[in-house]
Amino acid sequence: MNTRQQSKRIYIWYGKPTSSDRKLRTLQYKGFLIKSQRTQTETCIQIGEFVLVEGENADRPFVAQLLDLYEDGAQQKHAIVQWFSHITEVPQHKRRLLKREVSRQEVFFDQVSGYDTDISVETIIRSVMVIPLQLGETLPVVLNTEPTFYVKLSWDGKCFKPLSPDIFSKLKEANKKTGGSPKFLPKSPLYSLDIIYALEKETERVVQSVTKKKNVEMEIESKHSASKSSLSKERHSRRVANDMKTPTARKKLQLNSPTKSPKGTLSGRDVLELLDDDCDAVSEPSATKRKVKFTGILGSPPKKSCSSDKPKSKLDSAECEQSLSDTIRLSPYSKARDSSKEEKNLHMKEDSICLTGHQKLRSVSPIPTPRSHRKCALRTSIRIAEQISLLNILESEKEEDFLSSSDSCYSSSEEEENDVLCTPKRNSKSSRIFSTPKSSRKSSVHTPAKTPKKTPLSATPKTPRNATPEIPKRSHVAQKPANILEEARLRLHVSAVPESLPCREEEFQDIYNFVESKLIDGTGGCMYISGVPGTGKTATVHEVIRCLQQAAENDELPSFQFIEINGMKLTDPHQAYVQILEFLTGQKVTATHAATLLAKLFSTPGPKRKTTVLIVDELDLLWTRKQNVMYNLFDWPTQKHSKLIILAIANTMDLPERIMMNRVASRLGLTRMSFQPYTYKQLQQIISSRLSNLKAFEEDAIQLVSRKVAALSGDARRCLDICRRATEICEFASQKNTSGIVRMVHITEAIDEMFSSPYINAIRSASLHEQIFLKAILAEFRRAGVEEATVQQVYHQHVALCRIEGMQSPTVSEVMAVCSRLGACRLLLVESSNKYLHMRVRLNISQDDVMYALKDE
Amino acid sequence: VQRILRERFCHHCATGKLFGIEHQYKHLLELLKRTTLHGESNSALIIGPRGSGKTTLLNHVLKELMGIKQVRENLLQVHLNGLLQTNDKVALKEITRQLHLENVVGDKVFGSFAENLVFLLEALRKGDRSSSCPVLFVLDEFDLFVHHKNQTLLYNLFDISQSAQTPVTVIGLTCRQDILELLEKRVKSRFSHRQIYLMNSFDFKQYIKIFKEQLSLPADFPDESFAQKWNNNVKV
Repeated sequence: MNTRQQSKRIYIWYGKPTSSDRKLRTLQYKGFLIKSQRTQTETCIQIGEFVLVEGENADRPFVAQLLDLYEDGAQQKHAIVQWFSHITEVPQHKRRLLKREVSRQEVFFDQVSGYDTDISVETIIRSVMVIPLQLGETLPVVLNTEPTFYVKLSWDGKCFKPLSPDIFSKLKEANKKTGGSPKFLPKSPLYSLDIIYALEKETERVVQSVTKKKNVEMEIESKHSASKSSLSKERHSRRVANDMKTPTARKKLQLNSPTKSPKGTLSGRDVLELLDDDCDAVSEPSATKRKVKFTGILGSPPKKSCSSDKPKSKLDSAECEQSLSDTIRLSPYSKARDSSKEEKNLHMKEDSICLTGHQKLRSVSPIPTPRSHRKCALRTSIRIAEQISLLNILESEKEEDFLSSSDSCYSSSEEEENDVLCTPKRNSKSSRIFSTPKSSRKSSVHTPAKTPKKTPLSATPKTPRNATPEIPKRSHVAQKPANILEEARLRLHVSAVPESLPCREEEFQDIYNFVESKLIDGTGGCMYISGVPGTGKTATVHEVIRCLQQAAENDELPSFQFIEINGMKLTDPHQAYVQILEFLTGQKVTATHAATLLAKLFSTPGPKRKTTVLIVDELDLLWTRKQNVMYNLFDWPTQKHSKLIILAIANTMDLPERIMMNRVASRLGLTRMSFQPYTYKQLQQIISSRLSNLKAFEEDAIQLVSRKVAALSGDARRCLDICRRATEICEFASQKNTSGIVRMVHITEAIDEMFSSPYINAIRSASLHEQIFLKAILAEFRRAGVEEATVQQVYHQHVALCRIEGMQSPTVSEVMAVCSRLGACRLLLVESSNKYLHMRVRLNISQDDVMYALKDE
Repeated sequence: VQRILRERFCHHCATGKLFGIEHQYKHLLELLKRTTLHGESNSALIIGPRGSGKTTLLNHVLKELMGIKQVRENLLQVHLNGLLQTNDKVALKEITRQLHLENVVGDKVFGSFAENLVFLLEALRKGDRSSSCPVLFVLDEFDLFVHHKNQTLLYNLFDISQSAQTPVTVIGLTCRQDILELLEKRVKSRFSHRQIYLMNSFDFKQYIKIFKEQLSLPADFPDESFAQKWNNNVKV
């Protein structure tokens, strides 16, 4: 959403440059305008205001305060900012220092060094409110009011500190400077009429600014454009829609269950009737529009009368109640009529939401005679909003995860904006939303009141997105190893991760130093690691990452993100983008979109970006004809601001030279490392270190395995597998004589089993005619001098051989059957069988092997 | 009589005895027992020419395993056939379906290949040795899986069996003797190199014995005198 909008924003300086620096050729400004291209609206942001800045995750923008604005020689618009950290930006282990839950609205005054405070103006989305609070104060509101944040503590990367007085006053001042904005009001404990005046003034200002825009011709039109005009407004309206939506759904439920608080529903119906009357009275052109509004409001009155208004109704006279319903009557009316008012409502609503904390203190006195129409509407809107917010509080008390439900409502109401009356469509959509990963926490299934009603409507079975990838738990616990051999087998399994990797200390240190230096410098780089399979490349790299993470946790290193992709686990090289982006930001997009997003992410000077360590396993699988995946991967670290460290792992040492284009290979750089196959001593050490003090193997036996494997491949996996097999053989044998130690004999048997060529055995166990057929082939080869023959030729030899042996000669089809059987075992290589007797035959093994196998008979 | 014999010959249920492969039988049984009871991951290939009883062997072993209550409640089985699952995409959907993972809707699996792969890998990664159900993958016509693009499926299956994830046993059935040479080296490295060879090198007498045993009627046949007569005729 944000990204889409962002692309259509234009940034213009506001006013003349206040000062200029000749030497640096910079021009300083005191504000700028954000012009949204789509709706032709402008928002002005000045120095001192708080802004939201685009982060890598579109759903979670950063909070910052504008300190300075300037344009450099290259006409780039820059801004100097003071960062505020969100709780999610604080490392997990540091969050414990707070010893309390942190609400989503709380941010921390950021004093972490190393974050770039000079950002591009284009990354600023909009302005927000940040309110400083004293340490003892509680947050006024625990609602989902996103655009307002609260600051209590500062965060310097190591610990949290209370705000120093001058920072506090500075922040406060900054707030005041932004025009006595209504959001600051909740700070004052008294709710006086003066404030309402101020609010009114403020809203009038907003109204004017809106009416200046040309598009107030049609209600719906303007409502839409208003919602689009700026992001902030959109958010507001969305929330209103959202809040209205929830009660509506609730209301429906309530009507369905008449037993539940009959009084509440009754009075609710009264109000409903009143509203209906009003609806008839008022003849507005946009009927559909109003309908929606009404349903929106409809939800709130019954609730109000049943729950939140009880304390009030005690104090209020019946007349007061009457006026209340009057005002309610007015509010939809005014909303339907004037979008500017609607907007005002939104603003008011937010204020009142902030106020709910103080609501109880407030007396009912501020219910004066309605002075003006607008005033009245304003009051009503406050009311409604209060009720809604109160409802919300109640709800959130009832259900802990109201957040998720409101999230889903939030997006469904968004659709409502687009297409109000198209209910079936919305239904299907909302069922989709219902299954967004966010709401996948099992409880969400029953939270939103509307879901049970709407999900059955979706006719086509859709893949539940909230499916948690999980293998069912076993009903019985796995048995513990009973004896020494089983214990040994467990430790020898390849998956058993040892505490340290023996024999790879040097490589470990090299990689560690490489990554560590890059981390400290805050730069990017590539490293290419090669080696034959089973030499511990991936294990070593993982070990390095684990150590680095440990160090980062102990504050010896700057913290970093760690991503791993494996070429073999991708269905397509381009999927790499998708996976990286999902790891980084949690977004799920298509491959091409992910590529552009990533390119943008790594090439722009991202504020507050952590270093990313990316492991690319099985690099050769990422090869494409144009090599653009590899090119991009290795190009990003060379970008100035990327802070990306890539560790590429592959099997072949000369991969860069062999398959990469020059431009890719040069970007990969010359930081190479190759893992040599293990020598027998190293293998021996690996096995003994895994077994540590278990007395399961003879020394000689271990040495035999190591030597054998080192001579063949140097693959540690093979080595461990042989040992494991040997323990099995030993166990099997020891059932007769109880010797619980693996000896040379067992090892030899295991090795034979694994490495012996199957062909000889296969030939020996073949049937008589198969053997004769093989002999015939040999004879034919010798006769013709070519290592290829047709079945016809072989058949003649076969018949001749049978005559010599004194056997009945087989028919042609029998020989064909024999031939195809041998072909299926791949003892022979056979042409496709459509040529019948003219099909060519070739041996798949050497002639000597066949001779040897047949001679022993 | 007809019914019994037809069942015995035409259906692949594990009835009757096995001949000459007691050793292999024990080996495979031990292997699967360790997977199901101890949660140890393994991989093995059963190699033998056509008609040598590869599937029969496996069925016998599974039948005995299912006799153990603990195994019956735990083991998840996934049967794939190289002739049916002609590419990784189909195979993946089939695996997900047979595992009854949560993205299965009414016997069908939706979503793209990439999504499914990520989902399955994620699912298998979440488990660990002691807590999650062991999964048995049986790949019939294993040699056909080798020809899939990049051998992605095999790599991932073997990789899971070599790492501390959900306990997995991969059993491949094939008739090709050169199967190991077809595996890519990184796939080969992850394969545990357990091969069970089946050679039916019986002589004439053994064959006769086998057929006699197959034809003779069981002791609990309702008509006892008829069974006696039949069996005597078979022996002659």
